[in-house]
Amino acid sequence: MSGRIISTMITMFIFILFFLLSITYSLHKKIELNVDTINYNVVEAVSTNGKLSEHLYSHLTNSITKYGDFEIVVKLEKQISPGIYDIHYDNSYIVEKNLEIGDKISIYIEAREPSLFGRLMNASTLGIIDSDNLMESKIRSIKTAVVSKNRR
Amino acid sequence: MGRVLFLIFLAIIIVFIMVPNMLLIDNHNDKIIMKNNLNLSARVLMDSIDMNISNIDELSEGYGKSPVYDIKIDKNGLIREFYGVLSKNILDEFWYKEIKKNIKVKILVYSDRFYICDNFNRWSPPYYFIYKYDDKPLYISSKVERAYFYEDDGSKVYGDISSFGLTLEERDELIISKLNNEISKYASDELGKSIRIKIYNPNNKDGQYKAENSSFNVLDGLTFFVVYFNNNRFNVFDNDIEASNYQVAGYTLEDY
Repeated sequence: MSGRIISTMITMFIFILFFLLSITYSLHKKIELNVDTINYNVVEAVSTNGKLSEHLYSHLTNSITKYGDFEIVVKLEKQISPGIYDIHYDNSYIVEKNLEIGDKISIYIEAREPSLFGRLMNASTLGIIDSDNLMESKIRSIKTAVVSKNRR
Repeated sequence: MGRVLFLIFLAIIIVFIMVPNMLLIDNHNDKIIMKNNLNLSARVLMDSIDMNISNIDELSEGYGKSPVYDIKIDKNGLIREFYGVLSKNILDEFWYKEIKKNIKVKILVYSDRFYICDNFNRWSPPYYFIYKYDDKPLYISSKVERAYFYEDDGSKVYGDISSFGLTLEERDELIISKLNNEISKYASDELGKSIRIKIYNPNNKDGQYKAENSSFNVLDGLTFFVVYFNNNRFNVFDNDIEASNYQVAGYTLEDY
């Protein structure tokens, strides 16, 4: 009798696990795509306008925050001469700076916590797999573009 | 017995619904993210203008001086920069290699000719836009309504395209066909299936045509674009699931 109960529980556990994995995977991918699209739109706008304005940066942070807690890193490669760049990571320097053709702007976004799908996936290993080999499941996005307009 | 049936039912759901669904979601995301990455990478065109060369060919043809057409592009620098920016847009090195392998062709289109760069990053000689007139090649350009051909003694004869029996719409259609014909020779899959790109003809005034084709225009300026395709097939118990990914992305320097 107890064997039957245990086997029923295991069957139910497997079914619920796969059901949850399927749903959380769809959510994980949807958020990943939305974050990447927001990132793309911002970088594309900077490339077209030649400036990362305060307003645009606020739009980026506000839009991303809706999907969770994310870290945003902005990198500016300022072209000194062809092939030689001065690299800046300081937001106070980059935001509102007039850029020139040839400068490169990169925005990297990474979630501070693993997604629900990742946590569920890693939890389902029941600690059997070494923590170094667990699935990397943080949502990440990187976009880089060359500035295509001089802003003076 | 009931439990065994339930497990079989569960296995069927996982294999036939959940796994293909995950693969298709993955493919859908890849398509959009890839398109965005290629769009951003193609913007290096603006930074690949060769400052040491002036495109005096068109000036000498009397086409006039303009900010866009009076330039030449450093083609090798363009490819180098394109891949440089593309690699920065992709976090996974394995995925970058896959994308690089599946970018079948890169095309640089001027108003009167175009160049094709193959999978090994070798540029072709120029393909001129030519129309057969009186058994002679008639050189046409998307920028002007004039065309020319060479007489037997080597002299150039100019004329309005209408005097050669061409309308603006027909001229642009010839250019689009030429582009598609040459691209299809480079961009075909292992089954020999090639692609036809819906390039917008700005002189076609048909409303339905405009609505269906206006998303990709290469005739309004100097354009660099790339063609990517990857025919992914997954086999689940002899059932083929196709997850193809076709992308055309580029950037145009417009005359203004």
